[in-house]
Formats: sequence, C-alpha cells, structure tokens
Amino acid sequence: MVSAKSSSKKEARVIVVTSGKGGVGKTTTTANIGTGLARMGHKVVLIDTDIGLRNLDILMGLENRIVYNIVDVVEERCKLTQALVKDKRLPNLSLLPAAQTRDKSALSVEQMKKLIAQLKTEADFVLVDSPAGIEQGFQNAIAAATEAIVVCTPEMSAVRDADRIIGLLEAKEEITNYKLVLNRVRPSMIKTNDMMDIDDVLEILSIKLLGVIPEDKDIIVSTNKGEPVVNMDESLAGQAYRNIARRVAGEDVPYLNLDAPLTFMEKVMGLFSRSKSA
Amino acid sequence: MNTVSKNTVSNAVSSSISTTHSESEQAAVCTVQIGLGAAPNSAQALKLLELALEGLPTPTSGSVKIELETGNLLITPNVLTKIQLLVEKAGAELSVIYASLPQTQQAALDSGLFVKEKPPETKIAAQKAGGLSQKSHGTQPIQLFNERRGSVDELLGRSLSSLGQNSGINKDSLVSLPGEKPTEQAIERERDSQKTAEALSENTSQVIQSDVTSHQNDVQTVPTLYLKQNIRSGRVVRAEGHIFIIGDVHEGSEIVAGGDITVWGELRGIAHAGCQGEYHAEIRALRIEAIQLRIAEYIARRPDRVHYHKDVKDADPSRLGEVARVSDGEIQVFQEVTN
Repeated sequence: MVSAKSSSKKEARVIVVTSGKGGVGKTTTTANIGTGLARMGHKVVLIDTDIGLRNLDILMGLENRIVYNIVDVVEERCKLTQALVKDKRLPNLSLLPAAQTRDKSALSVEQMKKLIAQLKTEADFVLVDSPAGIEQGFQNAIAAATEAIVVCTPEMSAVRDADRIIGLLEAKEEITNYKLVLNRVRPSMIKTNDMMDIDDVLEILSIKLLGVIPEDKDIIVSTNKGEPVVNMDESLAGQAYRNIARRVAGEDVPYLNLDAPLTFMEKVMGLFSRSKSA
Repeated sequence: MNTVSKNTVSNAVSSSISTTHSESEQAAVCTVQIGLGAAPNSAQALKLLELALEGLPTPTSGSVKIELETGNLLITPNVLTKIQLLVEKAGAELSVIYASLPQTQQAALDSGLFVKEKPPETKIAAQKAGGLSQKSHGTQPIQLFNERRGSVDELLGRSLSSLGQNSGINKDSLVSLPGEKPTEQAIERERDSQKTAEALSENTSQVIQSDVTSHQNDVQTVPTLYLKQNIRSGRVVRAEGHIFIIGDVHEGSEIVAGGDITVWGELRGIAHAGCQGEYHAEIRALRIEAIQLRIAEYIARRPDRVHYHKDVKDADPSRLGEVARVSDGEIQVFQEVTN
C-alpha cells in the first residue's frame, strides 16, 4: 500500500461531483474517482446527498451494509463514524449513504457544512455526489465544497444544463477549481459527425477538461455487480477513470486514446497500478 | 407459533424474578452470572467485571460462585489470571466460563475451569436486559438485586457510549452481522440498557413486572396493521403491533414492527421485527430476499452481489414460504415446507 502523501494535519479536499442534468453519470463518476483515489492509498470518504433517490450505495455494492445514513447523523440518532460504511475491499474508502425514506429538505446547508467540517480532519478526499437539479439538494451538495467536477455528456441538453451549473459554481466564491468530465463519448460517432466533438463541448462551456470517459458496456456490468469499473483492469472506461483519479491527485497523465483498445503496455500499467494499491 | 414464543418470554422473565422472591430459603451457594460478551476488548471486559464485582453480594453464609459469559471475546491466559485475581479479591470463586472462542475455551481449560459453549437459553434473556444477571438460590433481597442490575446497566450503557467514537467496537456474540456495522448494536444496546436502567431506578420488582407485562400487552393488544398493497422504495411502514402485508415489499423500503412481520409476497426491503426488543418476533414472507433483516437488536444482511442475475428459485410446490427468527444467537431463515 502506497502511503498517503498528505500529513494528518492537512485538511481534506472537498470535491463536489455535479451536472445539472440527470443520468449523465455523476454517481458513476463519484464512485470511480473515489475508488481510484483510494486505490492510490488516499483516505477517501464518499457522500451521497441524493436523499430519497440514493444510488451510490448500489454502485459500490454496499447497499446491504447500511444501517444509518446522513439524515440519522444530522438528526443525531447516531454518530458520524457509525454511519460510515466501509468499502468491501479498500479499508481507506468509506461511504456516507443518503436516506432513502426521506427527501432533500431533510438536510440543510448549515448541517452539511458542519458534517463535512467533521470529516475534513479525518480524510484526504471528501467526494460529494450531488443530485440532479439546482434546488435544495444541489445547494446542500456544494455547501462545503472547494472544488467541483462537472459531469457532462456530448449532447446539447446536457451541455446546456452543465453551463447553468458552471454559472452557479462560479458564483460561489469558495469553489476555486472546477473541471469537466465528459462521459459516454463514442469516438466512432464523433468521426461520422453524429456526436458533438470534445473540443466543441469545451469551447461552449469554456472549462478545463479533467478527462473523457468512453461509452463502455463494462459500466453497466459494474453497476449491476456493485463493483466500480475502475477496479476492472481490462476496461477502457476503467482506465479512463484511473487516469482521472491520478489527475485529481495532482499527477500529469496524458489523455487516453479512445479509438484503440487498451494496448499491451497500458494493460501492464493497469496491473502495475493495481498491485501497488492492493 | 407466535403465542408459544411469547409465552416463553414471559416465563423466562417471570422465572428470573420469582427466584429472587424466594429469598427466605437460605442457600449455601449463591451463583452470579456476569456477561462480558458485550465488552469490545479484554481491557474493557476487566473494567466491566471489576464494576460488576463491586456490587457483588456478601452472603451471610456460604460462598459466591461466579459464572462468566464471555461470548466471542478473546480471553488470553494472561487476562484470565487477572480475572481470577479480581474474583478472588472480591471473595468469590470462578466456577464456569461460557465461551464461544476456542482460544478462550483452551485458556479456561488450562487453568482448570469448567467450560461451556453457551449459557442456558433462559439466561440470555436476562443477560440482554442487563450486563449482569443473577441466578440466585435465594440469599439476596430483591432491592439489592434490582439496584445492582440497574447500576450495571447504566455502566454498560456509559462505557459503550464512550466507546461509540471508535468504529471497531462490537464484540457482541449475539450479532450475526459480521463486523461491518459494529456500533449499530452498541447504540441499540445503549438505548435499551438506558431504558432498562430507567425502569429499574425505582428498585421494585413490580416496576419490572409491569414493564414487562405492559410490553407484552402492547404487542398483543395493539391492532395488527393490515395492508393490501405493494410497498415501494422509500416508503416506511411502522406499527407498534404486528404488520401484515399482502403484496411485495420492494428494495429501499422499510417495515418496522413492534411484533411480527408477515408478507404475503416477496420481501426485498429492510424488515425490522420486534423493534422494541422483542427478540422472539418473527419475519415471514413467501420469499425472503431482504437486503437486511433485523429482529430486536440482531441484524443479518443479504450476501453481497457477485453478478446480476434473475432469481431462479424454483417454485417448489411443497414450499409454503420462509420465516426468519433468532436462533442460536443469530437471525436464521427457515423454509417452511409441507410434510
């Protein structure tokens, strides 16, 4: 296990993953970047703020271990440590699940700030999975964040919603850094001019790119298995998320060539990075 | 089935109380059972034992025998020596150790103690109500007995609440959820023990008696909630008495009952029967695929998904349904079949 680079004194980076539009892959991105960072040895806490429509637990395969949730914590029915669900494989990764039987109004911005302040001292990264929309749930999610990852797909509707979200993020002083993850990209469709080009999206949104995730059937398999795709060494999407996690951690990683399947070297590198973190 | 299990509870409780009534019969030996299974580690167990021994009766005649219930707690020979010293200092004698860990059993055997795997069934009830239960042969007045039970409950509650901070605490032998959500039981127990402590603070056996009977009555007399619909994700169905649902209970929903839960359909959500501590409650369904089953403070969870699959349980014509109940210290699911 590579030891975490940050010292215990350093506070966690709080990153919100958001998109505006639903179904573009916020939760998948949160689960995979979080797991990717944890595989690198960082201490990571994932927070699901999608109260009433929680999904992050299913993607992580932790749904059967949830006893308490975020609402129980803010309503003081349990302690924060009791609600954190530890990952099946990575001991330095844990999930604070949303409540399924409540709604967004069960949480306030102040409560969220207080909660994350508690977590900040104990983790290296706090990843907040935001719900779709720009209402209370979104306000809660960005409450204590200092960085943001905007998830978008190469579709006009998703781009417009992402633009609105970026506007809201820019208006919030505390958020100093926000980047784009372009999800569900199909290089073959871009070639035939049936899909928006990556550069087009970046130009419209005038935002820096964090990474591009190809459309990959492994994602569906991983959701149903409850195992983030970042753990699948052969998967192209998994490789893309591993790269993004390294970029989030501050490494300079070249963008993945989406046209070609994984080269032999990339597979070897995938195995290598796995053995490092295992 | 239901009424039978209820009777066992009331019998168990009343018998443990009635023994204390017979204090007029002087007996030479007073046996005290101390449960350490709730302690997270041996250091805490020692502390708990010390506190329990402080409240030990000093019999006018005869000796005091201690029966130690360690559950899943690991007791090394070293710790055992310390325990023996403590017990001796209190003027008592260690007679039996109930241990489920082979290491603990070996350690106890090595020091010439009598070892058993589990305490008799009826004692678990008393032990759950508090950290300490007394199988008195009648030397102690009721007052003292209740007082002590209350105080140890409080101590247990306090020690657990202070431990709640670090996440790795649970060592409750009675819990079938293996280690993932340890503190959940701690908080539940804390709550329960505080409740018991409150109930016991008035130091009369009537208080317990009425408390017990009123609880029994609660579940029996409160009308059963009858629902003929599917329960979808996000819904919570809560009732003090029994709950009967005709329809499926989907994943993401919660059914919480003071008594039993019966589902004429598939149970996929979380079901919590006997939520007030009634651990004889049962969960029945035509098919149990629940994400979690909870009975009183016991929790069992569904195995992890390995891959997505449609459930291919055959419709066995002889199968009537499934029932989950607490058995051997954990929640077990039984298939009911026609003979």
